[in-house]
Order: sequence, then C-alpha cells, then structure tokens
Amino acid sequence: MSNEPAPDNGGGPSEARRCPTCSEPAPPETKFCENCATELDTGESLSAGPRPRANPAVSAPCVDCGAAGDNIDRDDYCAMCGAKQPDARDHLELDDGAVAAVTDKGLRHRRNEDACSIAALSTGAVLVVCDGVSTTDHPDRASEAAAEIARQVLERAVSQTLATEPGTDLKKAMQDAVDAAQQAVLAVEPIPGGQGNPSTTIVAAMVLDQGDGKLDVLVGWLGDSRGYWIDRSGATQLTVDHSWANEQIDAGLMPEAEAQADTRAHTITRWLGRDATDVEVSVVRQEVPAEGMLLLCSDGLWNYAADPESLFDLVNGMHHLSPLELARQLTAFAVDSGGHDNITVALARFGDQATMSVTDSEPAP
Amino acid sequence: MSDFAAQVFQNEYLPAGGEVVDAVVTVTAAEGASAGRPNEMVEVIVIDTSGSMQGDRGAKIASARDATKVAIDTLRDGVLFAIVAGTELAQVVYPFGQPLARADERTRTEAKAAVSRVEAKGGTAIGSWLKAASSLIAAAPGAISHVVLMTDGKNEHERPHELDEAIAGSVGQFQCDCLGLGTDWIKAELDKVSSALLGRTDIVPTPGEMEFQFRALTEKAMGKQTGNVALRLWTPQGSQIEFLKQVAPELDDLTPKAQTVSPLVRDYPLGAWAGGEDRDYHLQVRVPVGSVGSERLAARVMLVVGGVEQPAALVRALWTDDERLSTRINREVAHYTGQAELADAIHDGLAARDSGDDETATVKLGRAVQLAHETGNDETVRLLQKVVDVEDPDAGTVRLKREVADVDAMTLDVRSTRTVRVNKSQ
Repeated sequence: MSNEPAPDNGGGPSEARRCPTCSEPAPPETKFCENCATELDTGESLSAGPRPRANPAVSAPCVDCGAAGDNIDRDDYCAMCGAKQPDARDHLELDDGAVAAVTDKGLRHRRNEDACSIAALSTGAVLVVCDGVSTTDHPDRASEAAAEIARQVLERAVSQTLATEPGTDLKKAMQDAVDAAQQAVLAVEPIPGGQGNPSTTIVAAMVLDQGDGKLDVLVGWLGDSRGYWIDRSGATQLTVDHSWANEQIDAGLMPEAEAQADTRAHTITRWLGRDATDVEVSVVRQEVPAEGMLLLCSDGLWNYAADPESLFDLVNGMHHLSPLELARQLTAFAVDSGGHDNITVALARFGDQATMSVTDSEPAP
Repeated sequence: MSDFAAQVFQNEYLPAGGEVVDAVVTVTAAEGASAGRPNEMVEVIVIDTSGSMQGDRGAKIASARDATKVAIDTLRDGVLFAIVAGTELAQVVYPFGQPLARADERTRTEAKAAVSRVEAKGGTAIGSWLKAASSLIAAAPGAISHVVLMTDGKNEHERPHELDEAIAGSVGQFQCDCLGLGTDWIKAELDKVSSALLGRTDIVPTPGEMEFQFRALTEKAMGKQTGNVALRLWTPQGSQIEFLKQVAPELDDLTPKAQTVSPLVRDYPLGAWAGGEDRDYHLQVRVPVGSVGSERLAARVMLVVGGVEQPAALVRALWTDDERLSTRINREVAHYTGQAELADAIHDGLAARDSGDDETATVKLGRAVQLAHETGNDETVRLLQKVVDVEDPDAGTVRLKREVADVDAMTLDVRSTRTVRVNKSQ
C-alpha cells in the first residue's frame, strides 16, 4: 500500500530498493513490483490515496482550550476541557490535478463514514467512493479499507491495460476490485454485541483515454453511491441505486410514485460486508467523447440534487474551477443544503475545461 | 477479584447553549469465580441488648437471639466473625480472648451457646458499638468486612458527636447494614450510619421478621467477591458535578462522598461487589457550553478495583440545532428521575402528614401513588396503600387514611428509596 513505510533508499548506494511484500529488487521509479505486483512507493505522490489516519491534532494544542498536545487522549478528547479534537477525516481533500475529491462529515453526523480514493494516470483515471453503513460497526473503517484497496486494484489494471495487456478484461478487473474490497471489509472486526457487521457501499470508476478522442468509462457499484457523466449536453446518471424502491419498481411490484414514497424507499439492498448475500458488481460501460467529467458521489450530495438536471445546473456555472475547487463547491452546496449526511464528491475532468460550458460565458480567471 | 464493565445511557445531544448532561451508568461486575486467592471475609453482628429489648414480654430479645443464631449458621466456613452485644457500651459476646473466630462447626456451636446467654439490660450507645466492631475488624486488615447492626431505640447514652466520630472512624474499615426494630428508633440516626458505611437501613416491623432479615443480609455479605471498589469520574475543566446517585437497586446520593484524586478526577466508594452484581447510577454534570456541531467529553467513568483503573465508559455532549435530537428523552434517565421524585414525594408527604398539613400530604402522596403505579413499582404501591386510600392511581387521587399504624408509615418512609429497574416498567 502506498502509505506503508517504504524501504529507506536514500541512505546510500548500497541500499537497493526492494518490494516491501516479497523483497524482490525494484528498479528506481517502477510503480509496481515485477514479481508480486505490489504497489511500490515511488517517493512521490503517485496518487492521492488515503492520508494517514493519525490525527494531525495529536501534537497540536487543543482546539478549544489550547492545552498542550500531550493532553489529547487516545479517544481524541482533550484531558483538560473534554473538547473532541477534529478528525483528519472530518474534511479531507485529495488533489491529483485532473482528478480530485472532497469528503466531509457534514453537519449532522458525528464522524465521517464516507471514504474516497483517486488516482490520475497519464492516460486515464481511477476513482472510488464508499459510504459506510451507519447502522453497522466501524462503517468508517469499512469504507476506508474498501476504497483504498479497490483503487489499488483498478489502478494496476488500468496501468497494465495501457502498457502491456490491451486485452485486459476491465469488467473482470472491476469485479476483482470489488472482491478485494469485500475481503478488506470482512477484515474489519465487528464490535462484540455491537450494531452489526461492518458494511459499506461502493462506486468505482476506471476511465481510459483511448487516444482517438474517446474515453472508455467503466463504472461499477453496489448500493446507492452514484456515478454521473457530465458534458456539454447535460448530466447522465450512469448508475442505478440498489435500493428498495428500485427493486420494487423493477420487479413490477409497485408503481414508481408509490415505491418512492415508501419509508423504505432509500434502504439499500446491495453492499459490501459480512451480511452481503453476493457481491457481484453492477457495471455500466460507455464510450464518450474525451471532453467532460466523471463525477462519483455519496448520497450526502445527491440527496440535494437528486435528478441529473439539477446536478448539471449546479456544475454548469462553475466550469472555470479546478476539479478540486469544483468538488469543494459541490460539497459546500450539500453542507449549505442541510448537511444531513456525510458528503463525498470525486471527479475527473477530461479535455479543455472551457468546453464544459454551454450557457455560462463567464471567462475563466 | 472481578472485572467490571460500565454502560452509558444518555441523550448525547444538547440544544445550542445547553450545559446540563444527564446519563445513567450501569456498572456490572463480571460473573464467575474470582481470580487468585479468595478474599478474607469478616462478618460482625451487633445486636441491641438494651433494657427496651426486654419489651413485648421478652419477644424482642428472644427474636434477636434466634436471628443471630440463624446468621451464624449462614456464615461460610472460613469466614472470620464476632458477635457484639450493645448497650451503653459494647460487649463482645463471642469469641473469647481474641478479636475474631474462624467459622467452623465448633466455633458456630460455641457462638450460638454464647448468644443464648445474652440478656437485655442497659442503655443505647451506637457509637460505642461501631468502635468495638472497628477494633475487632482491625485484626483482619484488607479483608472484605461487613457489619449487621440491629437496634430498637434511640442513641441516647452518648452525645451525637460521639456517634459522628465513631462513624468517621469506621469509614473504609467496613460496610454496615442497619436494622431498626419496631418504631422507637430514629431513621436519621441509622441512615447516617448506613449511608456513610455504604450499607442500607431497613425496618424490622415485628420481632418475628428479624430472622429472615438477618439471614438475607448475611447471605448477601457472603456473596461479595471484590472489596473496596470505587467509581472514578473525570469531568472537564470548568464543569460542575451536580450529582452522582446510585439509583438501583436503591437510591443513594453519592455526591457528598466524593474524594478528590486530582483537580478533574473524583472517586466515589462503592464498597464490595458480588460476581454478576449490577447497579445503576445517575450522573448529572454541568459542562461549559460548546458551539453547535462541536463535541465535548462530559465525563469519563472508570472503576477502580484494588487500586487499578478499569476501562471507561464515556458520557458525551454534542451540541446541535436539530431539535429532534436535542429534545429526545432518554428512557433510563427519565425512569430514574421518576424514581427519585417518587422517593421525594413520599418523604415530603409523610413529613406534611406528621406536621398536620393534610392538604400537602394528600397532594404529595397522591403524586407518589401515581409515579409508583406508572413505573411498575408495585411494592411501593402496596406500602402506600397502608397510608392512603387510592381512588385513581392514574390521576394520583388519594385520601389520607384516618387510622394509620406507626409501623406502616415508618415502613413506607424507610423503604421509599427502593427503586425498580427501568425494563420492569416498560
């Protein structure tokens, strides 16, 4: 994993760089071990994967009373005034240039149980958003573990496809990523006598620039975290929520209006976790012109912009912003709209950003 | 020694500007055999042998002798024990020539024979009895020590400060349950003893009931496995502990028993625990207000067992502008708030009745009937019905009975602090 300590190769010429998993010698600048395909630390930011979970406030003084950092206990409370110290995940920004993500605790929840992981690649992008299920144990750890490993598997698949194996089955790669994420979620131990087995949604995307002005976009998901493609013609929702209402409608058991009005409408029917009956990922694949952007988000955003049109209206006025700034703006919109849930927005932009706008003629700064 | 667990029940959410945090903490000692060597255990039985015990044509002293023999038979083999007869001074009835005897067939037989020879004659000086118990128990330092103290009268042969000094000298040495026989004893005096010494005071309405109560108290004492447990409370700077009360199985305000460990940490002695025993505590703490969206730890609850801190339960405060969250009523907190109000209503109602204020007495005891009825506290309803005629328990409409036996009023008063657990009422 990218955040594991790498062998210290800066100490002297005798210290060869090695794979942390199998100890195979690794030539400088290689991204993956040639023996076991473990991701190697290149000493630079290969991708904007998860930041260390260590609370940055631990050595900092208390945010409330200013007591010295050694007063902050293991539960992140100040031992003097009791103030909960901010968690790094309360608001986290990942910036990899053309790909960026923002995840935020929102206003109502006690912690951020969403997680995201992204990577901008020379010829594409990988994005993952997970929304831990609040009614289960350690949903924050489940989502974080799933997002991180899924991003690694997908990133490897995309790199291999482009470099050496044009025939790589991307759908299989998506299932592999989801399977790996499921294993990671299973490894999160539930609390004895707790609420339920750790669980999370997942939406993951691979975008490959085919070099002919077209992008190959492949999105896989379980649950109600969504993917949208947004270009000059509008926004298209790529995913279909795995929700109670959608299942009723699909099965012809209930008219749409009635199903959506039911209190169970938004209950998710597919997820990752010990209680998931199967984790066969739903996949959508589209070839799109290489101008536009892919947006993945948790329901903390789409609850306030449920249909693609309202999402398009939101984005349309902000074409001049960088992906990170745009992700920030969308997150702020969800917070300002009530922030009832954790919010995660991950986006990747392709082509000339100015072409994004059809109605807004405001010049880029 | 047992492992302890603590579970918190609370609404963590406070409205903007809110500063009072309520929580019910259930503390449970782990079931099962204690690790390592079992604790040394001491049981001292103190019976009043003043002249008034000759009353009821000798039935009182006869019952006291019989009840003490039953208690002796209830002692486990190996427990250290002594029997003290109390008058204006304390006389050790058993053992002879040493402070404590180890229970076995021979010592039990000897002790019972000695109890048979006890006569009722003399005064009442409870402080001197406690001092005697304390000096006997000092022979077994570190033991889990328990005293049963039974009296039928007032503490009239010593000055009040002598009793206070004796109590102070006994704190931490042993736990003491008090029994008051009949109605001539003073509740406040025995409450003072049992509260300071982490026990309870109960009434023995008639001599015939003494045997059962002696056996119950001794059996309970024999079940204790872990001595000198303390509840340790950390609260934040600038906070104020409004109260910490035991609320089940019985009300007991622990607030005045706080021992300061450090500026933010206090210990509250809980005495000895049996394996599997659980007790509920209601904590109310006033904390400095936080901004909406922020969280503050309002209290950290720990158990101190054998000088070692055991893991904590956390009481939190989260400020929100969402009224649906901040106005939620926590079931446990509401229940025990009701049980405390019930005890207060009984106490106030009986006091008003004694002072001839029938109007206040009717209102208070009516409220008590309503609360006891609502919360399923059937035993308290039964005791109330001996003092009032209930017309409508839901509305709390009652009439004071014209003829009330002193013993019924006193029993209601003494037992008003008994609570029922939250799940019983739901």
